Amino acid sequence: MHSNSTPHDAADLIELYYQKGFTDGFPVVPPSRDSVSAMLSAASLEQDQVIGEIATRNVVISADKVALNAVMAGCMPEYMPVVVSAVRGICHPDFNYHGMATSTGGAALAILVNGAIAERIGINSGENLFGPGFRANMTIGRALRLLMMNSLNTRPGGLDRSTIGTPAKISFCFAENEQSSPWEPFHVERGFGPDDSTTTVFACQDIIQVYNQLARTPEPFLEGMADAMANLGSMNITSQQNLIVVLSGEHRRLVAEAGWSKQQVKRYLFEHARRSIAELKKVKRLPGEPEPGDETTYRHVVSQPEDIVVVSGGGAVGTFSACLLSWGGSRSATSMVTTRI
Amino acid sequence: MDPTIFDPTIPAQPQPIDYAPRPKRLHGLRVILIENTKYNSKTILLKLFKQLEDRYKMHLAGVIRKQSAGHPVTAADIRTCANTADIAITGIGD
Repeated sequence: MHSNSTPHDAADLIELYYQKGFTDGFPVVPPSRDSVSAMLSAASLEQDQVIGEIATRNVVISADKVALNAVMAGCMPEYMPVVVSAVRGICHPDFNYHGMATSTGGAALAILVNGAIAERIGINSGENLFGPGFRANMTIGRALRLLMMNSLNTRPGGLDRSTIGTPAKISFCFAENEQSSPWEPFHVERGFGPDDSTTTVFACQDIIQVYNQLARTPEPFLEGMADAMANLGSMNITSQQNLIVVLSGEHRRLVAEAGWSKQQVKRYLFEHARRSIAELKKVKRLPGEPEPGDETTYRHVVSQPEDIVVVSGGGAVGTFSACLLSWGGSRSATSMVTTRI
Repeated sequence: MDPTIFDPTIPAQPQPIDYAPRPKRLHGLRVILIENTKYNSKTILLKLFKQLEDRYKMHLAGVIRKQSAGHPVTAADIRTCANTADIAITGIGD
């Protein structure tokens, strides 16, 4: 830390952070020793404690830098364990931080929160799931983006080379609506205990809302979802990594009342989210001209049903669900949220 | 009001790396091509190698295919380069 020339009030201080280049374009909350200390204390961390390392950036992330960015983002101290968990996630080698953060693809960092921590600190899992209005969602997502920009040098024109990017890069955090889900929560499916809380970080290339107001059985609705998942412009169709499907409102009930298991949903989507080699060649997503057999040979959007994450989220009313398509070279990573409680 | 400006940056740790010995001449060198999975990457690298073969009688010691364009070359592949080739060629972008 270093002192600077005599700011007279909070507005001056905010302006100095702009001048230093320590913002995402929005004003940041100027940290104080007390606020940083409270953030560290809430996660039982010492300031120089190592949270993780991005090996391909040669950067070691210490707790004090995480706390600083969390304060600047507007986090409450009780959000800090979630922020720390997500930071551990982006350090996982399978997540491939450098690739997702630097690629021209311009992926957002999506943070899915599971377990009791979500409700305890007010992470929205219901109406307006991906929208504004919820401090925990907005500031936890922003804390990660500020850390990426300030501490991991992931800045436009530097090590963020997004051609277009997405507003979701500013902040993208949501919780699974576990109470409304007919199935076990995602973190339990991934091997964590039902009493655990977790974050899952996901390199989100596209968010597509899927609308269907007339389906009375799961198949027609899921057919539309599969079509969105396998759109010819998506990165997923050739990289085949992983993706997230969020079932909301009336779609959630439609599938539940039909008695479908989560595995059935995944299997159906896996089988239908595909394009023929001929289609992919015609639109130059694969090289070469269509050959005999290409019309009946398919590439699926993922290589196995288990690569499709299905979660419950969003409002109870409405016929909108969503699929989150991935940046090609990254796999989602799930980490425990450790709290003192 | 605390007037301190806190610095959220983390400087990357310097990582000194010794260059491999520079070849004294190009004739007869063993070449490894590192293909990053982008379309036409391998095509362009092989065309480049063909010119090196024609001009300097270089030998193709192997073609390494990365996991994806966004992944680094593995330590095992780097060892392969060091053990079996004199030069490695990579660097195909979009």
